[in-house]
Amino acid sequence: MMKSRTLLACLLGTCLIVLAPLPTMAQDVKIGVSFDKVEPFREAQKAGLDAAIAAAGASQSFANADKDAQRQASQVDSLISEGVGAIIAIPWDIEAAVTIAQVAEASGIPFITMDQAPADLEAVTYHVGGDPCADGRAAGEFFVKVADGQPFKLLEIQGSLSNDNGIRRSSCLNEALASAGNVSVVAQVPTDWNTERAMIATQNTLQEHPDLNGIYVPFNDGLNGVFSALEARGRLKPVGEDGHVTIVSIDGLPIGCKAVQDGFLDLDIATPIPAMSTKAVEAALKASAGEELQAKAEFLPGVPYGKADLEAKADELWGCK
Amino acid sequence: MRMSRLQQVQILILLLLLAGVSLIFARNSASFAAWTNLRNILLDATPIVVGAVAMTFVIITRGIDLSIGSIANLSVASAIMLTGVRPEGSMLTETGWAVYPVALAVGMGLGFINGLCITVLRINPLIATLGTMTFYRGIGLHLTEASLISVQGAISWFGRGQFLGLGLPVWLGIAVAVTAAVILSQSVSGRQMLALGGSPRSARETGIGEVKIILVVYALVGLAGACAGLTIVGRVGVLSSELGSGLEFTVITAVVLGGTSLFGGSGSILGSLLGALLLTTIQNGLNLIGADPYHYDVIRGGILIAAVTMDTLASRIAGRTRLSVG
Amino acid sequence: MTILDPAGFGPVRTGLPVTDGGMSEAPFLKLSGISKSFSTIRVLRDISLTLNRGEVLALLGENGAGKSTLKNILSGLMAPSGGTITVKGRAYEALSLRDIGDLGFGTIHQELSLFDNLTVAENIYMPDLLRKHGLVDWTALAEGAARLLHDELGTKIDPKAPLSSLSLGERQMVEAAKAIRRARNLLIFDEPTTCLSLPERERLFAVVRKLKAAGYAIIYITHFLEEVYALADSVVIMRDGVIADAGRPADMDRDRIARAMVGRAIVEGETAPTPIEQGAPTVLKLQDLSDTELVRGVSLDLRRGEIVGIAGLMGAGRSELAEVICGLRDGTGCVELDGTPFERRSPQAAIARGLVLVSEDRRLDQAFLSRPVRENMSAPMLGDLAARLLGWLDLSREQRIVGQLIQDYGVQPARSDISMINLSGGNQQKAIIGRWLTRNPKVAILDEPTKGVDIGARQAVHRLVTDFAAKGMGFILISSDIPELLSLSHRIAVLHKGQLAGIVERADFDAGRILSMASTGERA
Repeated sequence: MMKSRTLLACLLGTCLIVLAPLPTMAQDVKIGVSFDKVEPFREAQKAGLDAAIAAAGASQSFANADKDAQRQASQVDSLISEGVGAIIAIPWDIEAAVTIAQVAEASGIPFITMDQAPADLEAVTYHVGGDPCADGRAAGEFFVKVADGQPFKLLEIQGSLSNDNGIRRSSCLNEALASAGNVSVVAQVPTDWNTERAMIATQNTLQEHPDLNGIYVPFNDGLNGVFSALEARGRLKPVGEDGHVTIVSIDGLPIGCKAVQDGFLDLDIATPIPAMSTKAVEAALKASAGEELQAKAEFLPGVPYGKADLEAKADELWGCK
Repeated sequence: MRMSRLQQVQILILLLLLAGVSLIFARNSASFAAWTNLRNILLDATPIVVGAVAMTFVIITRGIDLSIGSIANLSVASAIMLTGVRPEGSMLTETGWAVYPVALAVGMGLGFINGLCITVLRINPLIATLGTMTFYRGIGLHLTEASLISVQGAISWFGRGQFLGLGLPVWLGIAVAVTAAVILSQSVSGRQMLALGGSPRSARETGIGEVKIILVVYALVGLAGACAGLTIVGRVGVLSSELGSGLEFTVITAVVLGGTSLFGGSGSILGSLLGALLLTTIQNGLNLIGADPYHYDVIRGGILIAAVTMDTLASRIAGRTRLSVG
Repeated sequence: MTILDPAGFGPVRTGLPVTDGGMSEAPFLKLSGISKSFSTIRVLRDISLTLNRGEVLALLGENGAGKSTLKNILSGLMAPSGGTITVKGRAYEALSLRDIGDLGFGTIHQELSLFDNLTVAENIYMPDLLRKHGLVDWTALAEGAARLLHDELGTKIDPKAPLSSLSLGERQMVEAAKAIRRARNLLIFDEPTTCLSLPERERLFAVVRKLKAAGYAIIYITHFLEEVYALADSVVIMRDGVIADAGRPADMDRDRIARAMVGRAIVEGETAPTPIEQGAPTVLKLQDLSDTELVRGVSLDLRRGEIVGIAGLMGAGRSELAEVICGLRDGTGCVELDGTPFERRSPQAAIARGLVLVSEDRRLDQAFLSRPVRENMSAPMLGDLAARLLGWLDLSREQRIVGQLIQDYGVQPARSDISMINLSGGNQQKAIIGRWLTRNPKVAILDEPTKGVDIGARQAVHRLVTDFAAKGMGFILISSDIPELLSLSHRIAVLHKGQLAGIVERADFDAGRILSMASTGERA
């Protein structure tokens, strides 16, 4: 409990600043929040939303679909019958999200998706998410820069191939690498966002390529696995030391920030959760009041940070607080 | 007693498959056949081996346990939350030796609860463990608040320890497989499990303690789940909410690959062991040769279908020879 | 004299156990007023009987009379709702499985309580396999099993053989060995001869007599009257959950027993086939029919309206012959239906050409047990019931037709909506036979049509066969029940080890002769 409370407090602070210009009209609006699952990253997003909703003076009703599209649909149904003013959802199934959105809109309830874009953006009132492609590209460019024209062997750990974030974090990394012939991806291993599999992937790749130069870990949860495997082969060295393996990760969770602080992670790309939450809540309140939204969808690129940026970007690095 | 002809054929098929894929990988990767890689494969396979061995008992008695992954998660999570200490301001949780007995006891207890649901409440094993799979994982998420918990201390001893050049978990896997093979083939309880799976009605009429057997086999799966969880967390050094997810499918796939009939009454520990090794070897080899990530599932699924098809053919042939005898 | 050592251990002893000596006036087992109800249905009412050691009590009754319930109560599988069970002077309200073990009761179940996936020896010793150093002692197991099977029961079964390689008769012997290993005092045989060939049946009788001499009290459940006279010291006949009659076999003639069983007189031999018309055409012609192993060069003609019985021991290839004819089994040779060759045989094609098979194991092969009687009976005519255009089933028409069939074939209870599994074996058989005969096939092959059914159902099936034959349907009737073959057939073809040993005309029918042909393969 302690952990999410501190997170909440941090995020509350951040959001208060961003939300300051919001009119205090939201007193009696209740926002329905529907999550696809709970895990560390979702906990952070939940804290972000809690903060943004509290800052706007609205109330909320929360439901967790636990990786089940059917359950999410029926939870949204009950949110609608509960009389919420708007719904913010992280869809589990991007196809099912379209149907769920249509049901909500048919009842006159604005339906806002966050993080995971539905299959058809037209179906929802508003979508705000990270920009997995921009994040993947940023990671790729970073590797190209580090390689600096020299041959560079890269292991690409993949989240999941059945999920938009997983696919685009991967494909845009490879787009960015395509131009640099010196960077070769020696293995691409799907892990289903699983730490243990990230460890095994690293261990096996080190077996075949002891001279591995870099590892792309597109989710912070995978870092521990990667570090354990490196440690087992005596390759866990801080940035700048001889034999260090360059690592880039995405998420901006506390564990990612800790790894940056400790010097084992070269670059982490923090998903802008505070901004995302604020935009989602803002859109929810506006839409429930019947106001026009300026944008239909927004994709917020992550905030890349290394050890040198910790202070300069402190405001945006929710995971470091 | 001795293996039946059919089982011998199944083991042979598995060995050939294992040799075949190994040969292909060895030709395409310089380091596949290295001793260190073999060690890695054995170590990676351990959680699956331990789970598959226990699952073999359950499936032999006509049961199934989908909750093994959730048990791995909850048993280790509760042991860490109960016995671990996190110093103020630190992100690391320090674990003591107590984490082992607590995790094993919780795992066994959770398995026992599965057994109770099946025997006392008479819920179909598939449904009962489908329920507890969600339930146990839910409690695990609640305990850890779905956060990532970095751990160090005693818990790493087992996962990272070495003995005679092999990881400690590998020795556990070997011990578990040998003991289970002896139990299944040479002990009275093993015969009773086979009998129960062969004909539950006959078992009832013969006075075989059905309830006791079922409670024991599910408790064993619970224990195996805890061992798997301890191995994984010990190696990775972090307790994640994803711990053990999908383990049930890998384990059941290994058992099916090993030729254990999902209809109960026959099964082979050696087969399950080879099944687990085959799955791990494929994963390892694909990684080493830098395979296209889209191929992983295709190849794993293909191997399963191939093995099951050969299995069906083998049993059809065995069935025919039996007909001509009878 | 070899005397049983039922526990399988230690020295053997002759005669009645000393512990019961001098108490001959108190019966070993006494049931007083036993009753059993399932919710509101009373399946047993006021059952009282006594049984002494060294005595065989035959328990008779049609299916559904309550024999199985009584057996289950005495096997510790079911608790009675009322009454007392007194064993050796001690009264029990109900027997637990533990009591059964302590009292030395054993049951040889009709649906054997054996394990296909284990060996013979393991089966006999399950669940308390002998151990040495905590592990199974295979040597002792095999020796103990050999003693029971060879010395005590006089069989030649290999204790190390997998059970799945044994014939039904051999399995019955394994079940008996399993029971006498543990049971020292009382044995219940539940319709043990249903699936046995004649020599096996004789062997079983010898075993029962031996066990009786060894001092066992024996309850022998059957519905074969001749077994009563061959084995029993006393008879108890049940009907509708009560004891309808009881006494000594010597005092009870067949009529009295049959009347007590069915509640009315049964006239045996009432069913005889109508003579075949002069010049009736051949509807089915088999020429040199073989499969790879169990059917060898069988040729046979069947005329319109004729009933040809097929006799033979178990394993003689009777069912396999039927399967080859219908295309369920690969085979060579020629089958002619109605004068035209029936090639590329398959069950579907057979049905389309008017040839149906009602197989021996109707429960496994042909009945959809969990589905209603209605669907079971209409299954083969769905094509006719479906509307021409869209394939909708005409449900009301189905209901009407099935209702008529249920009446025609005397299926009890006469309801089309209950599940097949709730019908007795005899009624399931009537429903399945009805299902096929309704299609008015040219030829029907019935494989053991009255196996395991009660007298009433047996009579009903016999009447169906003769009636349909009189209307011109040809029948091939496979049966292990010689009296049935003798009474229904125009001719009997005897199979021996897959070959036709000979065909006997009705005028020459003689049970002894047919049996000797079946067992030796030579024309007597």
